[in-house]
Order: sequence, then structure tokens, then C-alpha cells
Amino acid sequence: MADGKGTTCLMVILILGNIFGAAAGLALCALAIWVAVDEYKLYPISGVSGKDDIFAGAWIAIFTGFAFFCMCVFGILAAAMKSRALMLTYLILMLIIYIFECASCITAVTHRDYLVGNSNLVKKQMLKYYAADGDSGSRITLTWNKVMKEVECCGTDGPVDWIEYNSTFREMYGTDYPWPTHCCKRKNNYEVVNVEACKNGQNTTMFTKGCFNHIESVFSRYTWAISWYGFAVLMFMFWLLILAMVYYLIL
Amino acid sequence: NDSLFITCEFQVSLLKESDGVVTGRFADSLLLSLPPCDLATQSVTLEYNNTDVSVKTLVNIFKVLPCQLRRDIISTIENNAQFTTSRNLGYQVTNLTTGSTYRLQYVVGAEKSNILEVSTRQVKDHNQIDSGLPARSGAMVVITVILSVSMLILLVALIVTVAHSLGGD
Repeated sequence: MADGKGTTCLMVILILGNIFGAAAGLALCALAIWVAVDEYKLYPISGVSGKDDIFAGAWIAIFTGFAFFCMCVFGILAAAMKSRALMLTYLILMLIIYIFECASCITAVTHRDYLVGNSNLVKKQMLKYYAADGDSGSRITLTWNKVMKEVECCGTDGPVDWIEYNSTFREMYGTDYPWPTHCCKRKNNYEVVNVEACKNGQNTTMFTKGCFNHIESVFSRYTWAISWYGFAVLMFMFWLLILAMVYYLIL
Repeated sequence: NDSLFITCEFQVSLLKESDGVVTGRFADSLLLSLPPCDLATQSVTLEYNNTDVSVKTLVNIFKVLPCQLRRDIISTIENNAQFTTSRNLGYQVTNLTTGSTYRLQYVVGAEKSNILEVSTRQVKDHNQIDSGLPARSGAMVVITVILSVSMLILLVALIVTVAHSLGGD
């Protein structure tokens, strides 16, 4: 019924498209695994605030990426066998996976805006939970200590955050130390170089830059991996699915 | 030769970032610069008051330090085990009230400094920080809009395709 040349041409395009889609889906799965592993160990900052859907988006993307891979392999089969039933199955399942992947991209980028759109949420959380008791308090304290030591920074926008606002740290330890001792430079044996100078704020003995730049860049990196790469894969899949529908119609 | 107005013999100021500290204003203390070294070995008295309270005097708090051979000696804090060098930056006035204005003046022998009027930091409550959603970024709007539209198009296209093929049979 349909002209053989046109159908064959479309079949070849679909097969090639599905091969590329399978590779893209597998790459999405791998990238999402990298985000979920969280090598920078900043999950507690998003977890305690309740805005942790960057990582939820990563988990969804692991499954949808792998599902895209499997469905594209199935799609190669369905296109080659010129079967209407198989093509319909392919289309319906691909649409379901497409919708889940959309959800992953949108939620990841929205929660990134909540978390690091500006430094307020991170600053408020640091002032509230650093040195606090309880599970949230200990997780945040450990995360901040690690960040301050490795990135050589203090506070969110700078050490002034600690004296500008009251905080749990201030309530627990009084005003003798204006900021935590993790803000102070340390020697290789982990001893503080000069505690008194650090308390006075001499900038040769302590870290004076804020940690927010680092935190923001890490969360942005995770989000761009999930949402922008997912967006690119979805845009490709959109055209592939349109072509598949046309193929289904002319079969 | 009577002066009709008081001249300041030397200046006192708050320490700033360019002096090598994070800030000169804390919530309960202030960092003041030191009197010049040509008044060396004389004892320093600091007089200060809160704008509503009586004058407090700290007598003989320190002796003015002698001049170094190189005036603006810049030295770093060496952090190896052999030695530590340091330089003297200023004087810290402690036990002040948060968020109040103080007027401070050094008195060294017969000489007085200018009166420095400065306030300590007002500590804000961290619960007042507004941590709601800041402005939506362009990325979020683009991704959300384009993906939602594409989902809709695909759904409609699939329904049309299936209906057409069912109707066509």
C-alpha cells in the first residue's frame, strides 16, 4: 500500500535515529549515576532544606536513561520488522518514558533555583544548623567543616555572616570566637596557625572568601548534567517519535 | 597664640579590610588603629562613651610602640615550626553593647586624638532571612515551557495517530 522506497528510507532513518538515541540514553544513565554518587558530598545542604529534587531527578534519570536505551533497541527491531503492533507498543512506551524524563528535568532545575538562586537559603541553614544538636545539625556541621577545610573559605558570603547575624553557633559558644575555628588556617599537623589572630579577623591567618560560590557551582554542575543534558536528549527523542508516528501511519 | 579651636594632634580610625582584617566592627568590640610611633614609649589612655552613658576611661592600656626601621613593615605569619613573625595592627576595645554608637578618643601624654564616632554591629536574627524562592532563572523557564509544550504535542500526535489508524482500518 505504501510506496516501498519511502518506507524503506524512513525505516533507515528510524534505525539510525534509534541507534543514536540508545547511545544518548545510556550516556544519560551514566551521567545521572555520577550526580547521584555526589562526589562533592553536598547532599545534606539540599536534604535538610527539603529541596533535594536535584538528586531525585538524578535517580529518575538513571532509570529513564536506561529505559530509553532498551526502548531504542526495541525500536530498531520494530522498524526493521515493519510491524504495526510493535511500532505502536514502541510509541506508547516511549511516550511514558518521555513524560518521566520531562518531570526529572523540570524538577531538578526548579529545585536548583530554590537552593542556590541566591545565598539566603544556604546562609539561613548554616546559621541555624551549624553546631546544633540533632541529626540535621550534625550533618550540616560535618558538611560545612569539610567544605571550609577543602575549599578554604568561611561562612556563606564571607566571615562577616557569623557576626552580622545571631546563630546556633553563637548561642552555644558565646562571643569569644566570632566564627568557627574551621575558618582559621591550619598547619599541616592540623593545628591552628594563630588562634588569637584568627579571632581578631586578621586575614593572613584565616579564610576570608565565602563558600557560596563553590556550593552554587557544584549544584549548578549537577543540575546542568540532569536538566540540560536531559533536555537535549528529549529534544532529539521528540523528533524521533514524530518520525516514528509518521512511519507507523504509512506502514 | 591661643587657639580658638582644638586641633587634633593625631588620628584614630577604625581598622578596615585594607589594614589586613576582615572587619573593624564586631557586635561587642571595635578594632582601633594605634597612635603614631613618634609618640613612642608613652602610655596611652582611651576615653570612650556610649551616647547615653557616662564616659569610661581605660587608663594606661598600653605603651605606644617604637618606630620600626621600615615604617610600614609588612610581615607575614610564618606557619612553619621555626618561627612566627607578627605585626601590631591595632587595639581591640571589648565589652561594648551591640548596635550602639560610641565616641572614642586616645589621650597620650598631652596630646589627644580626634574623636571617632562609630557604632558596633547590630546583630540580626537569622530567622528573619527570607529564604523563599528567588527570581526564577531563565534556564528554568525555558526548560519547563519547552518540555511541557513538547509533551503536549506528542500526546496529541499519538492520539491522532492511533485514532487515524483505527479509523482507517
